[in-house]
Amino acid sequence: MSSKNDFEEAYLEYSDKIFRFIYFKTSDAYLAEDITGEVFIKAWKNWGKFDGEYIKAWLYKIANNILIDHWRSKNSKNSKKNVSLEETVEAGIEPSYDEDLVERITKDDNIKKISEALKKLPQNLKEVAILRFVEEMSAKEVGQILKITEGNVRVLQHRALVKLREMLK
Amino acid sequence: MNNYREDLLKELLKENESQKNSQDLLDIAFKVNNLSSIRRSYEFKKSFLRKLQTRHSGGYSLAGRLQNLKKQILFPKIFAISFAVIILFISFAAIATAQKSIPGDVLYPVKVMSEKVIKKVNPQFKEEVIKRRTEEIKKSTENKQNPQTFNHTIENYKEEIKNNEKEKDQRVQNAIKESKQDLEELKNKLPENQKKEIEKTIEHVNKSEEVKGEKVEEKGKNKENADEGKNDKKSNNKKD
Repeated sequence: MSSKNDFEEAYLEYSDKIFRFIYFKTSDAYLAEDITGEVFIKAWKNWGKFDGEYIKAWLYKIANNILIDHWRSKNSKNSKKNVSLEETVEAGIEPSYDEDLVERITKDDNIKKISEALKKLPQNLKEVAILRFVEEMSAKEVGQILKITEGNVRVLQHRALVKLREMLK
Repeated sequence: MNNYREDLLKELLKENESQKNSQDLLDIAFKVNNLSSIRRSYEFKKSFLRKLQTRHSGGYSLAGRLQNLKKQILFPKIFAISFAVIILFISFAAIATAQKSIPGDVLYPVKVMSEKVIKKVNPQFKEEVIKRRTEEIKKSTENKQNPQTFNHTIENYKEEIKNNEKEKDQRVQNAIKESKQDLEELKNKLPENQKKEIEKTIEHVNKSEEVKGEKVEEKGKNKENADEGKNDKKSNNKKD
């Protein structure tokens, strides 16, 4: 799986998922787009090495790592810097944003209501909810990405739904 | 979609939820699923891919990445080397062109600088420099330069003669004598004011030769005295 076409297909199929994953964890559409771009530039650079299986898991892993680095640097007292877009900068690509989408996210009441509810979930429940309900991944896939057992995924998804039900009444 | 729905319902039922409750939770799951409508436009995504392709055309495979790496490392080096070669070429060209310049020309300082360097490396070049200074005087009279530039040319010549006052090399001495002869020939062809300047210059050369002569004489005397002193000592030692 090292051809240009494969990469393009992967980008078109998975980039929105990565975007949503980051967006629901950060509530920041611009940051989500920056990280999405960074994820795929990194993926593209290493495309030749990748054997093609578990691409979803691989992309989510990259996204998660970048997000963790971002939170670490944000929490650091001495650091005021934003997410490091070193891959994007190195590739010479200027960040850009789908402004229509950003506007829709901020103005659509239904999206806002559900996003707010998701935001209030604890981190572990939020991640399962996003991957399971928004992205319609199987419990097995979610387990691979989050490095937990399928059983754990089912327990967490149930808890997430119960909490969401209370919040969305 | 139906599989997903069925699977999720089964999973919820396994969590000991009643059918009603499980259905209820399933509805919540589908509400959350509405968030999958958050998508960037196809044009936006294609635009990103185009940018990526434009910036790094060969980036997908190892060969492509190596090609990009080569470009990143090699091209700046090639540019730097090419730039250095061009600068060197321009410098040599300027120095070569400057050799024919005379006082008042833009490249004349380059000529003087290069002569200083060559003299240090090859002392015999001093002879050539004296010939050049003489030639410059001739050219400046031919070109009818302004008085200031003409005077500057004369001063350069005098300075060169002064620099060679202590010069022992016979070739340099001969070159000075020849230049004096050239100036003697030249002065008769010139207007009065320039003729006077040339005569002063020749006088300057004569004085310089006199000074040199005195120094040679003095040196000779000192040597004689030193030799006499040695001989006296020897004869005194013999008597003892």
